[in-house]
Amino acid sequence: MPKNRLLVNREIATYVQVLLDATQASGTTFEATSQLKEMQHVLVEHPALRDALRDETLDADARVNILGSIFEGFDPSVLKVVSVMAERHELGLIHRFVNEFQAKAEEALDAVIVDVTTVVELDDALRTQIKNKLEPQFGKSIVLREHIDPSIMGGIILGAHGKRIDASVAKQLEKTRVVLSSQRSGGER
Amino acid sequence: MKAHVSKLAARAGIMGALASGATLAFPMMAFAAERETAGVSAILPAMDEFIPMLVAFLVLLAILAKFGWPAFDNLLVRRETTIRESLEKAEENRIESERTLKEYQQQLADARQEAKSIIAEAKQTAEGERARMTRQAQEESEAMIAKAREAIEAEKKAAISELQGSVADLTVAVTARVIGEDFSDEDHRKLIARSIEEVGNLNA
Repeated sequence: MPKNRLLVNREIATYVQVLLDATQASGTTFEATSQLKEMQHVLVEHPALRDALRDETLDADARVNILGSIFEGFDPSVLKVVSVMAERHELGLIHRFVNEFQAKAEEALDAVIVDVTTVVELDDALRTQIKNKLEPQFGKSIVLREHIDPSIMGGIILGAHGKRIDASVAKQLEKTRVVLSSQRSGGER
Repeated sequence: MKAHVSKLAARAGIMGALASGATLAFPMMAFAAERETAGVSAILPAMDEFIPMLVAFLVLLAILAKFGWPAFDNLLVRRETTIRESLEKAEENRIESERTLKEYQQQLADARQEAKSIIAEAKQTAEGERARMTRQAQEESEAMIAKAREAIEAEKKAAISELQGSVADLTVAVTARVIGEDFSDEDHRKLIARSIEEVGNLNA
């Protein structure tokens, strides 16, 4: 059912505030942002899961159980809030909810959460190097949310506040491949 | 003309009279030969024979002058008229023939001139048509050659592009394989460190 934009904003703010209060109480605000990102990704990639969570025949406990079985080890507060959104057929708001929550979490943590994707796990030296590079840019302390992705083949991908810097080997190779494919040979007119 | 004919007729009458006289005189001459010995009287005609013969001659001459000569004169006049008309007609025919001949010659000359013009025009038309066909054939052949060149060029470009794509894919695949197999964790971390140094402003 179509809703008023202000009403939708208020609902998202409510979800965000509820989850923020719960995670701050448990001291898992940062972890909640990571888990929400991962849940967002899974729900986008698997429409069948979205349909199952919207099923009218399932009660709230069943939805929490489904989410708990899929996202085992996730914060129960995160699971509950997402299951309520599914019950109310508001999973379509998950993207705005995740972004709003991350913004609120950064305010609460007084830091900028930066997604870092690499092939191998970062060591402390690299973490320090990244923070030293980015803290002057944002003027705040940096919290790294690390991801391992072998498909990037090397290098690093940084993302924050919707912006992204791709310095991966995969990207460089793709650029190289495009240049080689589009380059004309010297004998051509 | 008529007077000339009358003179001729008169001469003919005199000659006829002389001839008749001679005819009548020959027996008398024969008799004279027999009577040569009789003197001058032997050569003179006997009056008893001469007079009737003279009368007969004069009667005959009168009859001829009355009936023969007019008919003969009419015959000559008609003959003269016929000949003159024939000559005039022949002259007219000759003039007409010459005029017709000139017309025919003129028509023939005109026909020849017209034939020359037609032949020249036909030659010109044929020459123009030949030039047009030659030009058209040349243009068509040039268009075909240009199209063929374009097709060849397109095929060449496609082949080169495909080859470049294959080379690029192969290069990337080989590079990725080398990195995946040969890079240790420490190598990756060095690469990450170098990448961090090179990245720009994330908050720009």
